[in-house]
Amino acid sequence: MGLTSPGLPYLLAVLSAALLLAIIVGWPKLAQRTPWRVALRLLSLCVLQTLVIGLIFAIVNNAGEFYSSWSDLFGSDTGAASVVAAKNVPPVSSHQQLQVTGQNEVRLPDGKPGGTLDGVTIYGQLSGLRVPGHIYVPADYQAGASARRFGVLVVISDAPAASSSPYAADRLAQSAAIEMAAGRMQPLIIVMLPAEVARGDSACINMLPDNAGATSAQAETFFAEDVPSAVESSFRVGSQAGDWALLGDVKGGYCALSLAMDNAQVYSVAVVPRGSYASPPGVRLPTTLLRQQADLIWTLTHLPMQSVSVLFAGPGYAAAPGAALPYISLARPPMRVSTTQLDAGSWPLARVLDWIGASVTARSDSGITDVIK
Amino acid sequence: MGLTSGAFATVMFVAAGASLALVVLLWPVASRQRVGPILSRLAMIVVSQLLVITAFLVWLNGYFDFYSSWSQLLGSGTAPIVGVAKQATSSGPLLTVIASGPAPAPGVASTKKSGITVVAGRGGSPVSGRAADLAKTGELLEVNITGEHTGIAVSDDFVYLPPQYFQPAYAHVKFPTVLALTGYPGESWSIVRRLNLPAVQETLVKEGKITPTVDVMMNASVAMPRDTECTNIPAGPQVETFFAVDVPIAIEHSFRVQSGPGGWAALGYSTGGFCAVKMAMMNPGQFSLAISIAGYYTSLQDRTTGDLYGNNIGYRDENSPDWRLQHLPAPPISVLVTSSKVGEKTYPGTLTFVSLVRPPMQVYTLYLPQGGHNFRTWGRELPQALVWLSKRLSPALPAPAPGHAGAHAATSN
Repeated sequence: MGLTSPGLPYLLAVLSAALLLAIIVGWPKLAQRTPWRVALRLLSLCVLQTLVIGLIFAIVNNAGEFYSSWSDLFGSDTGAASVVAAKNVPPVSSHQQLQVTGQNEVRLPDGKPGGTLDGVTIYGQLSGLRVPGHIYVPADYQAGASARRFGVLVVISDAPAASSSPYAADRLAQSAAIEMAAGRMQPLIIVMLPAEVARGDSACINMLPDNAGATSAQAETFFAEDVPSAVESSFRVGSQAGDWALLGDVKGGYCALSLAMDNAQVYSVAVVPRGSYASPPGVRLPTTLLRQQADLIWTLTHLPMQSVSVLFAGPGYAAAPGAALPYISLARPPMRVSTTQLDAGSWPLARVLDWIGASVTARSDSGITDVIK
Repeated sequence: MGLTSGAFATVMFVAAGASLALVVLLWPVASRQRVGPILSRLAMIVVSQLLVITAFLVWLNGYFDFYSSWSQLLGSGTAPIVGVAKQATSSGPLLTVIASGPAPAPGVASTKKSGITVVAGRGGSPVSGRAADLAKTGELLEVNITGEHTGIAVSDDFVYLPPQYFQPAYAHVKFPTVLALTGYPGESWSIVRRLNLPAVQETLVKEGKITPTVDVMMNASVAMPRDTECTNIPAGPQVETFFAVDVPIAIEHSFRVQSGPGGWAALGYSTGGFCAVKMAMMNPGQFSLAISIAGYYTSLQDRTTGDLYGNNIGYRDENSPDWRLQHLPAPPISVLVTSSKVGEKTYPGTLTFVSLVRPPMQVYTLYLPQGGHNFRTWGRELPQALVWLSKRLSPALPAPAPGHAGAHAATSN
């Protein structure tokens, strides 16, 4: 009878019960104090114990399928096999992760060149999302043939590129060019992407598949893994969290802050308008637990402080923390939180960009000292 | 008295033996054919039987390393797991070495933590034994790891540094790392003692079949007795982030190892196999390779896991390798899956998973004709799996010995 045959436990159970009954009934016959009777007592008990333990082992083994056969149990299985490639599919050359679709010179107010603003499409290797955006490449990047690696600012905004919003690609690139030319801002590569990278996902989260199991947009994967991978494959940029910053407008604020707090190993700086960010905008999560996880104040109070610098800036010109107050009162090192107001005038984000440049390039390690053995 | 302490096992064995002897001796007392004595016969046998069974279970637990403490054994599957992640703001060390010793030599049956001596009062810095000795044996460290991002703190895990790590030719070489995970319920020591990962590797390195790696051997569950399945639990411990982000950071900060996916592989058996494949698929930027020994490829929910998915089927789907292959782009990783054609209930699921893999992901298989869900079977699969791995991991190669070129020229003349 096989070790895993369903009959084995029944057989052992029947044998155990029969022997138990026999011992109880035949008890007086073994009560005499002769060596032979005493030995029989011990023998009968031992056989019973073995049967019961065998029964337990058979039940446990059938449930867990630890041993598949008697030969498996006693170690006499030696059958071998070899590793084979399951499919003879040649590795496809991976998709171009970042394609430049257009290039425009950025001009400073005095007409001098101030870097370029490229139209790009980022193809997300892991998310599968294909997202159009812009990349500002500072004049220093093109000038320097040096091996120096640049920091990166990812701007998440719903402002159309040519609109009058300070977060719009054209104005932001020009504002950054002016600050860099004046020496107030450390040069950064600036990647500008929409807040809604997939239909229905305006919060940069990995949308959950519905009950039908439909494909769901993985916007968080896009921003946290695909964008860094695509930009690093095409530009001379740093790959440490300290090299990467996020800037969101009102629409992209939740994106920027949640990405930094959930992926502090990728992004170390986030600048967002004042807000409470208690739920992802425009998305209704199905369960309480999922809503809790998406509430950034809940994250702040229930997970360790992340090593990120957060600056609340805007909307408007007030400096009071307003809805961002919980972040200021709850944050502890290594997380840092500050607030500032936007400037009046043509370039409201100028000082914010200066601050980002300083935060990214003058990064300090998160207090971890390397102990390399 | 600890569940796995030798003293406890001894007490249980003595009690079982004593109960047997007592029944034999007291036999005549219950020999009259009345209801009372007959009941006392039954009672004697039952009590003795229970003691023997308990002793057997204690031995079985010690053999399989299922549960390492009473709290792990007695906690129920719905035990709260929120306490695992500490709301710590202190910047303590990410990795602390608790004990260290020479790694068990191949072919030598290693008993529980024998040869590993407790290092009292050490901070985050790994301990240095005598380098000349360690260059022959390698070193096994017992470590505590605290997750920088998740706050999850674990203990009783092990790091293996191969002999080459201590040899002058490798003094400036960064090693690739294998993150090895247990099944559930399990104990990380099983990877050293039952799977024999370090010893098998050492043998293969000596035979020139593979290049050396650093091994990080951990319990797949961070919240025993709960089965956490390497999942970022909504509003709970972020276990996937712990293994895929925090552990590599802690290891890269503490040892001379490579960073980047080419130098990191995930390996595991049973639940650990599920974890290895899922984590590599979700974090191809950290792990380029995964080995699943008798693993499964859909996200489990049962008595031991409880609800890990925020009460949402969609989130559970996202944690399922099979679902991901059907609905998301395949990641650029290579995976080796092993199973047995007879004796493994994971075999049909493994076939399904393999049929779903698409480029750029690559999948390789190792199917034994027969073998159950146990360490003996996995031990037959491990050497080939390690050879497969070594062909793909970014290797640690020794610096050429000084004067080597000259010596070579001399011999060829």
